Amino acid sequence: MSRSFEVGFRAVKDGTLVVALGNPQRGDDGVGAAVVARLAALPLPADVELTDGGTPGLETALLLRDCRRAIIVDAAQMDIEPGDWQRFAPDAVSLRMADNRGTLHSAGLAEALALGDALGILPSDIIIYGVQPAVIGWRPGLSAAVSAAVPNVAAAILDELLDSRMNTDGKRQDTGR
Amino acid sequence: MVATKTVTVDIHHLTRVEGHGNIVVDVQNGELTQCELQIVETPRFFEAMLRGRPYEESSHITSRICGICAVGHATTSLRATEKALGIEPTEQTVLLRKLNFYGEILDSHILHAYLLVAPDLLGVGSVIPLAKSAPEVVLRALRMKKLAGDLCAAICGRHTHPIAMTVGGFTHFPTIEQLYELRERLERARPDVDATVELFQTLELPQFERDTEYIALRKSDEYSFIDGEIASTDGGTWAIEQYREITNEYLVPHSSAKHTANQRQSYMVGALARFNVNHDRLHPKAQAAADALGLKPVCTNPYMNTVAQVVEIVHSVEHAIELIDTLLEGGVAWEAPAPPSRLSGEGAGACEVPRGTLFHNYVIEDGLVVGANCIIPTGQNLANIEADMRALVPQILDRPREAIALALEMLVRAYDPCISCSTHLLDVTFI
Repeated sequence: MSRSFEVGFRAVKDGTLVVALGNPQRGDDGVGAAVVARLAALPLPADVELTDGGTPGLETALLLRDCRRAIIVDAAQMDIEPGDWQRFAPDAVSLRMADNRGTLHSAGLAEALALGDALGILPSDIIIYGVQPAVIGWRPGLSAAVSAAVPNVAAAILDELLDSRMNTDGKRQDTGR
Repeated sequence: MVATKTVTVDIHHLTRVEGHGNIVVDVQNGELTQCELQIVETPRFFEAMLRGRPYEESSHITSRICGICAVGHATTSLRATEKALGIEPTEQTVLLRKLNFYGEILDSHILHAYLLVAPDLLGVGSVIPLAKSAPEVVLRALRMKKLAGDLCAAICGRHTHPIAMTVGGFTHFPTIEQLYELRERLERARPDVDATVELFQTLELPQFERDTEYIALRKSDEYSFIDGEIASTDGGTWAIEQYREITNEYLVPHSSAKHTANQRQSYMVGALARFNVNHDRLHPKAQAAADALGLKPVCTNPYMNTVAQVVEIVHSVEHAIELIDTLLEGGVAWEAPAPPSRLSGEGAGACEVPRGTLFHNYVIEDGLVVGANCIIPTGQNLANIEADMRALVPQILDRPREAIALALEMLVRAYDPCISCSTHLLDVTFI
């Protein structure tokens, strides 16, 4: 089993890459890293690689290259209760820049997915787990609500990793607390 | 009809630059009444943050001024501190810093030339449609950027906000295997570099000439990126410590970044200025690339700044390979950082970061920073950009408003401005 916690671009060929996005120095933005760290302690299928992708901006597109399936875990502003989470497909992530012209400071997951899609390098199967943050502040550490969600999100991802029937079912809309 | 034309261009939040700026041009009955690059970014107060901090923290704090030229800020900061405290870095440290610097120059220039400028020249709105119409171009850019980032990671731990660079030396050293691997990857990148030169040979840049003063650091034995003397195409050289004599910062109401002027109303720094000052110091392959791209000194077309960056991409790859050979020849030894010979003093450091000459100036007392001044390339270019805009607008008044706006946006983007770096509306009195 290959597990990398370095910010890198070493996706498993033809396997599943679980990518944490976000900055653990900024409160609940570290939820992705916390979920991936929890998964790292669990027995996983051999074709699964875990990566803490950090905040790479457009280079997320390269990170996702060469894997069959990518599962992205990130804090997401969804106007639901802090700690609640959703599983959704990439087309649910909207581009913030309506004119699609982009500046360097605004490149996020949506822009990276748009770039990867345009380049034709994204895996066919991308699943995003978004967790509603309570606080994205200027100190590390998760809020109680988001911290409590970490084992549940990790368990849902583990279910997905162990159950290949879900691989092609990008429409499933799981929610939970 | 042009003589009586009335045009108002108000580009709120210019895109494909780093930070927030507006272009405002007002022509009433053929007369240019307003022509401003408004800098609306909040001042950053980094100089104030440094006060009272131990000197060892300066490079780590100031590298946060910029996520693109973090290595440039860190290196300039280290040089200012080392000069203040009488620290002489070893030859190995100097070599590693130069090599590291090329990683950043490559990363930044590739970002600007491919992702920020090429969409204009290829007639698309951004890198996303470019990725659809010419995926091989974008993949090449991302491949080269990856190599540049990996180069920095091998030398200083990571590109953005380097951790292994310290006052007097390094806290981490690349292995011989890493250097061999980097050398091989740089050699394998040569076709990508050639393709970059070929791409920019085919792209047509706007024709516009305006003579100005070009300023860059110059050394007798190399195309300088770290240290040297301040040199001008108008003649004259200055020691780095005399930087205030050439920058002469002043305030303008419409910008939260200060403007500068030396021997004329404005001057330019950056790749084009470096080329104009130091073209004779370029690697022969970079000189050949300049010839192929039609870049000749002294070039007075600011749009050619991007082409000068392409020439510097060639230089950086070739000189990085030579630096690695020198390091491999001598071997890389673990070295303790060179120690300070005193704990109080004043020092000024300067580097040619991707966007031009960067100055850091510190006063240190008993190991604590008590005064700091940082003058950033984009701040030095602002007055020159506005002078270009004032010269350009009357020449293109016959065009539709959208074409005027695009020409102005492309002009500002050609300077590769880093607006959030340049704001420091803070008067510093040295104690």
